[in-house]
Amino acid sequence: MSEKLTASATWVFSTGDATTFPSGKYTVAGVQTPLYTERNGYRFPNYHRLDLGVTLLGKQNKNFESSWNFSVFNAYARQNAYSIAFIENEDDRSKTEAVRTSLFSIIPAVTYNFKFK
Amino acid sequence: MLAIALLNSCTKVIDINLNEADPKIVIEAELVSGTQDFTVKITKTSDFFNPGQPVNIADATVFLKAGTNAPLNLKNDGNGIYTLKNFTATENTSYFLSVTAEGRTYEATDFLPKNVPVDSLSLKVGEKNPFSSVGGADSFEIVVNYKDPLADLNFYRIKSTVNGTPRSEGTKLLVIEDRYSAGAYFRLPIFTDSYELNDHVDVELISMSHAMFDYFTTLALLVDGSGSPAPTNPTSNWSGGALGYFGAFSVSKKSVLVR
Repeated sequence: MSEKLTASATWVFSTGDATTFPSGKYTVAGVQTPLYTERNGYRFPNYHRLDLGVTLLGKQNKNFESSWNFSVFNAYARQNAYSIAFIENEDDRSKTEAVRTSLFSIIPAVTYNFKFK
Repeated sequence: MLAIALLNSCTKVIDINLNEADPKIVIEAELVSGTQDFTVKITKTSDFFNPGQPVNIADATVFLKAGTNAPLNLKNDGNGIYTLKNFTATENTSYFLSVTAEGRTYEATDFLPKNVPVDSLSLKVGEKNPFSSVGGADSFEIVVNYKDPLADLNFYRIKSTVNGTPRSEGTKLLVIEDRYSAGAYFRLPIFTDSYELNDHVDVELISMSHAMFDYFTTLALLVDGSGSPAPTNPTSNWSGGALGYFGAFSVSKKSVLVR
């Protein structure tokens, strides 16, 4: 009938994917066009995140077992780059900027497990 | 609600360090059938984030050869522009252009195809289509009607000029071939663009060679807004690694007032 506590942590690290970014710009046929030189010559920013979890065992008896799990995905809310696009600045259409899209920030989760023995 | 707020994906403008490449030469030349001045524009590429004013190449030697005729030198007009005045370009002729700049020579050949005339232009009321980024309830579509010749592979570009201003954004590039429909009667809507009431629109049906079709379709892939994970420079017909193109085209024009 005593509660037991376990904790876990995972840290994931991966160097950024190789990618092809533009190295210049020119106008041809009236259209502004990016210049590419080295294929896969650039890298995305590195990917890393920390996941933490804590499990509390609940009431235990001959017929029943349960536990509560509290976890956090991406505990320090790293904005990992899912994609990077080069698009025109909304205010000044002659300027181009790099826009990073990230999917997930910090995500907490609660799980209750139970089992009839 | 907290969970939904945390789960939303975010976009952010970030700083990226690009190894700004050494400037490369860009040579743009369009030869159109008929008699007019032929110009060649020679510039260099600039930095991606801080392009500034384009650098012109002011001291190149340029000559044009028609078939096996003697070469004709172009005059340097300054600002990277080289001109051959009142040149008559004919259909079914191969042209050769040579540019020598900064100690290197670049050469390109293109074939000027036979003209395909536009029969007429028709107007259609625009519909909002979820797959298209243009159009809508108050806009109009222009349909280009012409007969594609059965013989040969034909390649076209459709350009429109509205109230005197050419439509030149990358997303409006329209280049097609007749690979699956040779000899058909085309009723082709200009699906990359839309027009308003009272617009005066000049439409050009430009016939081009296979090499120019390859150039413009690979250029469109870079600038039409769809993005690509592994982009590459357009397939140019210049030797020596010059960017840009030398195209020999025949053009048929028709105009319409949208009403």
